[in-house]
Amino acid sequence: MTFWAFRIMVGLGFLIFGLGLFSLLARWLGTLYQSRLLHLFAIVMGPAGFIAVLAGWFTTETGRQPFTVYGLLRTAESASPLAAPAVGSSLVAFAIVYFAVFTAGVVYILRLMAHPPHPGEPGPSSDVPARAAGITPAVERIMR
Amino acid sequence: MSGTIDIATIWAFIIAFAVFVYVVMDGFDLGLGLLFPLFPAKADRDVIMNSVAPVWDGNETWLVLGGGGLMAAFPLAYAVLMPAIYTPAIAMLIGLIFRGVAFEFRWRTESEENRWDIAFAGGSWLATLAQGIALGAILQGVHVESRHYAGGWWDWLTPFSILTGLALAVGYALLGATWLVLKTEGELREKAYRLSWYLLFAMLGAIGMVSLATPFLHIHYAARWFTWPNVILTAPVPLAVGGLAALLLRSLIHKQDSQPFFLSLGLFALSYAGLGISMYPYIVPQSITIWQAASPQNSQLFMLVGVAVLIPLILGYTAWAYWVFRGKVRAGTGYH
Repeated sequence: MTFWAFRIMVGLGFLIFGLGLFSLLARWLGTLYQSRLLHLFAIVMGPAGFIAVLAGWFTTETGRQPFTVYGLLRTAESASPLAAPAVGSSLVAFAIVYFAVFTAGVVYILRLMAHPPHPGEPGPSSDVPARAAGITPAVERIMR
Repeated sequence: MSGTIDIATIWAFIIAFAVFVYVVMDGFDLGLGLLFPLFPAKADRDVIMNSVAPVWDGNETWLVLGGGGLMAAFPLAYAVLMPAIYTPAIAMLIGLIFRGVAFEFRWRTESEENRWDIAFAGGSWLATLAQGIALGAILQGVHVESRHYAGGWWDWLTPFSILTGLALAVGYALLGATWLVLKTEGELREKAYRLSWYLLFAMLGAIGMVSLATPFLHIHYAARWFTWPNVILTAPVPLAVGGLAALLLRSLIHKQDSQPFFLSLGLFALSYAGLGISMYPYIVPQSITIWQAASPQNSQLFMLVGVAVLIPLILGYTAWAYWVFRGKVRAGTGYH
């Protein structure tokens, strides 16, 4: 488990790096919006970030068992004095919440991916300060 | 050891400071979520969300600093308190998840019945009540046996903790309403003024009830507040609350937009000071002092160097963010 989780994480890391180099190269050659191969590669790599993060998580959490602090403190010794139903119900609650939020997130990401990129799209105008996430994105409203 | 300024005392103040900054900063944006059901119009809701969108997630930095600092500097207190408030803590996190994603997802759908509005308001209510209940649960004392939490997982639920949960909701709502007075214009501002009136009186009532109930929890609290010569130090707190409330009323009458929010923050600061007076030097009330809970001095010193750099840095960029986004929020044009 740990063996493969680590290799998946690192392998995907290299692939993500490769995609970055590939698109940089295509940009230089002026084929960023034409290369079918690059577009296909980019779409396939869509979930790579999520998978790599999860694989990394598996690596640390399974790799250090049976210790919480490697070689010093065992997982069994570091458990809190909590009733089993307390831990169980919180685990179930988190699973439900994560599935709900993650599903919504995937739906919105797929919706964004359904829009093709526009060559020659103007960047944000420079006379207004750039705003962070959460602000009504004007561009998207227009696109819809 | 008590009476001198040592590293444990410094750390206690750092954590108290981080938690206070969290309470007042996340307090007003949680308060906006609490008030959300009272503003059904979509245009108003857009303005309300936009008034905190650039700053709200920075506010939660302080929760991480307070929680992480508690674990590192007072591991015993962390180990005893977290199981004691496990259920409210998990409820708070789930509430914060929903209101957090609401900021990101709300703009991604156009339908009139926006479920992310419900996620924002519901998450804010859940997180606020959970925080207030956790405070009450800690204040009323937890069952400790030989350095371990020995209570059950429903010990936190008492009439007193329900009272502190509701009191905190009233306080956050007041912060939210006065924030809207500060940041909005027109009909929205007028409504925020009306709400501030009601909420100010509700908050004074809440402060009064919690203050009256606390001395009955434990003889130590009563002794701390009502014995001579402590009274010299404790009596000014309620007097200052009265004074600030009067100033706040005046600013509401004269509609001085920039004042009510900061005066409300003052009310929070006084309530928090009152809490500190009740608790000090215990970190787990009536069972573990800050010196008993402290991690080794070397660890505390090592981390002190870290926060000595970090806290000014965080304060600096936070102040910068609020400065960049100062002034009234306008609907529509000004924002795109």
